[in-house]
Amino acid sequence: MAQTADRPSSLSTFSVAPASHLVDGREVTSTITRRELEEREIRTVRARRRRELITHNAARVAVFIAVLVGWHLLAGRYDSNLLPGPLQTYAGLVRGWKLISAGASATLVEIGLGFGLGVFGGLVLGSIIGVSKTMQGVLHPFLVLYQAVPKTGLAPMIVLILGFGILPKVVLAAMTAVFPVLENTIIGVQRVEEDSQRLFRVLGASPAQTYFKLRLINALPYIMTGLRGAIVLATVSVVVTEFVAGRIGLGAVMMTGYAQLDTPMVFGALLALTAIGLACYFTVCLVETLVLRWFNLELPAS
Amino acid sequence: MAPETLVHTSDADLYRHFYDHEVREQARRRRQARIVNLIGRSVIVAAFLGLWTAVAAVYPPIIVPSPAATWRALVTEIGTLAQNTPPTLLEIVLGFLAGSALGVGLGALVAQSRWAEIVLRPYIVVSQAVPKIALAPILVILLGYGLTSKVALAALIAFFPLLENTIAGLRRVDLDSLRLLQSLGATRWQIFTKLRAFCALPLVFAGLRIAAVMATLGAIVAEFVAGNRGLGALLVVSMGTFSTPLLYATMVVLTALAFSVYLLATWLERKALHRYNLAAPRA
Amino acid sequence: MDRSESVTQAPPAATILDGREPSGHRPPVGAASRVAIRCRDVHKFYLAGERSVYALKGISVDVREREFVSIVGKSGCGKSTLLHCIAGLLPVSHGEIAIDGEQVSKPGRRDIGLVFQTSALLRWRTALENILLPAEMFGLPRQQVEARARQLLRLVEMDGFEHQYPNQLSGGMQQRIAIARALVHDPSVLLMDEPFGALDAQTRETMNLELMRIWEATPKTVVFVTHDLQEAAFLSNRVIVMSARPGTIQEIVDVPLPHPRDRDMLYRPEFVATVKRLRDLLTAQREGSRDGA
Repeated sequence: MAQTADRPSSLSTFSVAPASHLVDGREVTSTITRRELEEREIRTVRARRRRELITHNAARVAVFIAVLVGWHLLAGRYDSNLLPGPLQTYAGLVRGWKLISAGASATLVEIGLGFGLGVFGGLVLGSIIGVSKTMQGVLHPFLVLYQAVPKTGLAPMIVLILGFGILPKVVLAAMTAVFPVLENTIIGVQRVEEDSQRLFRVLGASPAQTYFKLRLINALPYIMTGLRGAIVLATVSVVVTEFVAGRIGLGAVMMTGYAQLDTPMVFGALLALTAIGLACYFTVCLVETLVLRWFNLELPAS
Repeated sequence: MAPETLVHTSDADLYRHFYDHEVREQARRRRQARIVNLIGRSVIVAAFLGLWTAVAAVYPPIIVPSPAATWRALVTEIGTLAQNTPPTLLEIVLGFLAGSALGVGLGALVAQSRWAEIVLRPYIVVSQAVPKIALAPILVILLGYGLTSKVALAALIAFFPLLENTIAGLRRVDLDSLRLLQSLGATRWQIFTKLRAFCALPLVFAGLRIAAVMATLGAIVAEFVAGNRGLGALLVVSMGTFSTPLLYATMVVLTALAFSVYLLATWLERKALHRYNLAAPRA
Repeated sequence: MDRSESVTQAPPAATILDGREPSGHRPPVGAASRVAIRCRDVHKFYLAGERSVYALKGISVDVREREFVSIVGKSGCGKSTLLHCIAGLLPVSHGEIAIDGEQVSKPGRRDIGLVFQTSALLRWRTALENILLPAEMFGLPRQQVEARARQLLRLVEMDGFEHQYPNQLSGGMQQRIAIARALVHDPSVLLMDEPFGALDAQTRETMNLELMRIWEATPKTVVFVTHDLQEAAFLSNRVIVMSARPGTIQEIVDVPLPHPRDRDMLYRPEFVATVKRLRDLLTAQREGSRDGA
């Protein structure tokens, strides 16, 4: 195999012996080798990274504790039915555990179904609209309208039609989650490198081939971002619908506590809701990482 | 076209031949697109109204009123609607202003210190995932049924997108421009005012646009929970009393309000970016 | 506008991919050779926003089978446009382009291979998978094509890199894969649009030699667009010099050196004279426009 200029050189081609140079015609030997320099640099960087890891995380923990303590102190000045502190919140959580855990599972199901439906709709619609410039032109003002108006405001209307059960929450969540996926699919499917598009045309690819082998895969990073937006919106939407149609779910539990002036339980339910929101979000982030890794579409860490 | 037919006497002739052809083609395509857009949009609006009427025919009028009934309610209840619009609008505007000011201010502060930014990063990420809207009942408990709780919720959920976008925008500086300013001996403050602030503008204004929508959402949801005044409250009350035509009429007014707020924010964004020539090139 | 052909040497009849060694001597490209690409009175005019662009005017040229032809000219002279028209990516406003006798009307011809400046490798496919892309599109049987793809990998000296992703490869390596991809369906015509333009000077020099070596092994008709006069003269049998606004063929220059080419030829007087001729032609363009023509 002939050597070529653009092959990456391997470290093993470097000699271990010290380099020597001519200064004023006399030979001077360097007292340090490349290997030594490299190792020194790696050690310094590693040490700094380790130090930073410790200080940064210590600071983060400190912030967390400060907030917790601040909350406790602030809450001490008020009645626990107005502003419960961390301890009362925990007590409220334990007290209402049966209600809260039941609500949590219902909310989780609603979020999951609404998200799934919304993502599916967003992908399908986004694919159809993304490939057709005419459709984009026609639908443009409607898409702007859809984006501008908080769909969550439709909750009372939807509850009236679909009742107080799981259905209105799922439907509204789907309606809200659809948009980020739709928008990002459209953008991603269009933002393909010119030369790659030309390549597919020169190879006589059918529109379907071009779509599935090039445009859709190219759109994946954008779609994943859309998924993250979608899960957040789905969660918000489910919570608000539960506020309005308070029978199932954590939002409903909060409204019950709110009506009964059992503020510690409201806080407890909020805590559970926070945990669910985080869990859903990070699951989607995990999916994003895995999918992008599979298709080698990850961006290098900046 | 066989090659033989193109016989022209001069370059200018050739040029004009092709130019006229292309200009006519382009005009034709544009006309076509406009017609298609018009027809398509009319079809969609008609289909929407048709679907609505059909659904209204299937469901009892107390669940789904027809477009006609909604229009009637809009006219007869104009008083109630007009009464409840200003409070909601006020909540949105105040919430937006408060949330934006805090978001941009805090974002600028955090962005100054690399250390602060790195330490707070996980918290900012987490705040994205947590449904802050769930704080509505708590805010109403804490701050009462008046204006404050609603402005607070609107400000709270308008705050976060702006915080993020401000930080991201201030970090996103063209490296060569930064080096240039440094070589000219600029102080940190000068670098901020002459470079970073401008680099951040596109993201900040995008954030403002999002914040406008968020503030609207916050105001509405707070009114859902407090249920005493405003268009959101009217929605919940009319749902509870099954005054469905009023509910739908309120929806129409609310949609118009939200859309106006969004258009205003978008217009401001475009003006500001245009003023500083920062608008992204059209794709 | 087509210069009368001189007798330059053509690539050998046998190719490495047939399993036989190439012979050192080749039959000449002469009047007996068939025309691979024929352009007749090609005009291309389009509107771009506010501007109107007369990209190509009255282009007529014949490219013979297994000839290596370069197109040079300043930016905006239409050389890339001409290449895209030959590939079928752009419709012509007037005139005809025919490859192997068949008119070019739309993209997707199996007898064309295209190499871009940006390599256009798909980030989510490994090198081997990228090379197999044309086969997938044209519906060729996978078994056969995979063997050929591996052969081509060896030819471009990238064996061992089958499972690497494009972002793990340097610019020069990416272009090698792009070339292999353009050859996998055995086209008779290879169109290259400034393929080495994005590489640094050293790598470009290396890639020129590599291209010559690859071309020896798999002789095709090549149309090569570049702005680098030396590169054009080094690689080709003939160089088409185009002038801008509107894009026309100023002159077609013969390169009186035999293939296979090597680095030493860069210093031969015939080579230097050819490059000088090209440079003079381009300079004349500038002066012509300065006189307000």
